Amino acid sequence: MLQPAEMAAMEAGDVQMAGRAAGKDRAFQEWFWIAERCVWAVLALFVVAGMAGLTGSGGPFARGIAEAGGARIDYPATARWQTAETLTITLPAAAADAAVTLPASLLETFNVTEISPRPASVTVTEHGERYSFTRAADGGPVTLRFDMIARAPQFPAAPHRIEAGGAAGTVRIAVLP
Amino acid sequence: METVLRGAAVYAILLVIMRASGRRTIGQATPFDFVLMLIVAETSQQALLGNDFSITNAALLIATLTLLDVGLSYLKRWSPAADRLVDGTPTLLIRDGVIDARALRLSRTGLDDVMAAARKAHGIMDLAEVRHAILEADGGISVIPR
Repeated sequence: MLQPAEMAAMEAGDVQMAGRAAGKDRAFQEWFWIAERCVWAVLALFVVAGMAGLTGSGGPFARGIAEAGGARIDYPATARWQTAETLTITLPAAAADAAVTLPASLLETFNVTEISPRPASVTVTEHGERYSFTRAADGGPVTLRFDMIARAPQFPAAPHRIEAGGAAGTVRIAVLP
Repeated sequence: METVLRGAAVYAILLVIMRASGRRTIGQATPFDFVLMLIVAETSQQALLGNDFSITNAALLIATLTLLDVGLSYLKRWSPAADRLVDGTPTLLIRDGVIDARALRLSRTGLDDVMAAARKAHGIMDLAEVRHAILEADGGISVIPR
């Protein structure tokens, strides 16, 4: 650690003092190099988590699958604030009810921007919003896509109970800032 | 995953392009070079972020780019070939007073640039007083006087 007198001497132009002072803070530098590498390790863990999908936007763990009876719900396990995400629900051919109810908790977290195909009707219920779709005459499996954007961060992941085709499934979605 | 891959791809593309643009761009930026760098930076931003303006995306990108830079610095230390490829090697522009016109032409360096470096470093006003002139890997010009 440089003493005030040493600093003053350096500032006054004492070149020899500057040379002697160059290695005086070696202990601090050694500590700093260790701290630097610790930060690199944290960054590396963060990047590995990103590659694994734990921060959303692609990767093996970015999305989850939930079952609701015979219906399949493909949802973002980790979403990002103000970033578009997709919720895909596949209703089996045998599903008697071509309707999906998104719970109020999910609608408070996400703003639904687009639904494909367009629902025949939307009904507000005590549980949330019920979207009814018209099935084709052949009655095959139906894939419904909800595009949505997270309104606010939410961590840890919150559970949401989605009703699809007459059965219910729970999805857990975290929203990172 | 997409964020990390975007960051790595843009870093690699920029590295190749900046390397290919020549050392003159790095070491002696003209106003045009400066404008070009601004436009490249602006263009890269959209490619890096896409439609995701979350803090997580930005933090992950910054972490990715930082680690790539650190990794590249270790790679250059470990592999002399990688060091040459990424940073380049110094080039003799004037050797023992003899001008290498081909090196000057291919590196897009003029004698004016050499004399400017000579004046700044040694106060030299005459080309005859320059023994060696070297275009360094970082784009600067080192002058060894007679």
